[in-house]
Amino acid sequence: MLDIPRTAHDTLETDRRDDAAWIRQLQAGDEQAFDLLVRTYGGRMLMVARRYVGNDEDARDVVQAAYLSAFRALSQFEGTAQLSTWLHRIVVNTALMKLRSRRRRPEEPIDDLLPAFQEDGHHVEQFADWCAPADQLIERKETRATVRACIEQLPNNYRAVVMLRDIEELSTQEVADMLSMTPTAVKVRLHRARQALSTLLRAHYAQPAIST
Amino acid sequence: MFSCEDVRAALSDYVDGDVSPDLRRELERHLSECRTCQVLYDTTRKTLQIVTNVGSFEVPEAASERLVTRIMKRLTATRHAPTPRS
Repeated sequence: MLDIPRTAHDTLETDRRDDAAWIRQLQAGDEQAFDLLVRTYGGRMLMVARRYVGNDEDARDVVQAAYLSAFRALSQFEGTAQLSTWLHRIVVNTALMKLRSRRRRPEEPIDDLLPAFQEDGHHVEQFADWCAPADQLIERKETRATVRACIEQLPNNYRAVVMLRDIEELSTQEVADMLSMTPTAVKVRLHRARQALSTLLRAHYAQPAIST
Repeated sequence: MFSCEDVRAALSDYVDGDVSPDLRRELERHLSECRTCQVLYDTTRKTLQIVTNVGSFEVPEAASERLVTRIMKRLTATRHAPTPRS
């Protein structure tokens, strides 16, 4: 009988070394090993899913579907990536499928959140700087909730690009492959999404505008 | 001469360090002279900094426990469903 890690901490400690043993047990259909896979990474995967789909209920559906997909795909898993990386990718793909299947409401336009320009190419409005440096804001507990709420306000396609590129830190090419887009289209969408996010965050963090 | 709109178009690539040396020079020249674009650049950079750092949303333990139970129930049902064996 192979030893498998008992807790998330043990798992992170032993990581790749024990992944091989764990994978063998998973592929042999060991229910305990799968229970551990859910227990160890379930919370983290729920966070990932929530960031894409924007609510707890859909995130739980995504994680459940992803684990079932992982279970079905285990026999093909060759162990070239870490289990957590492999699972993470399945969760992201499942979340993207969930986003694509949503038809509840039409996508909101993003143009209102982008800076406006005069005919001569100059800004229509003056922008106020933020009230604090980013590293100070990051320290504040409420910043996470604020940023999360702002990301959730982005239309699905824009949110997905920000998530993949800026939070998952995938390359432009990797994002393009996952979303079936060209790298140029990814860059354009990312640029617009960042500007929109910046506008949304400005409403929370900007100093009062200086009148001219 | 670069306009503010030109700056905005290149801002994301500039923040990512993904611009040619010539374009970088043009951008930096404009940024040194235009307070509005400077603020736009600075807030874009701060936005990115915050967004990339905000990766750790806590999940209550109880939610994870519920999730484990829910997934394992579904998994058990799937495993006990009749499937062809090789």
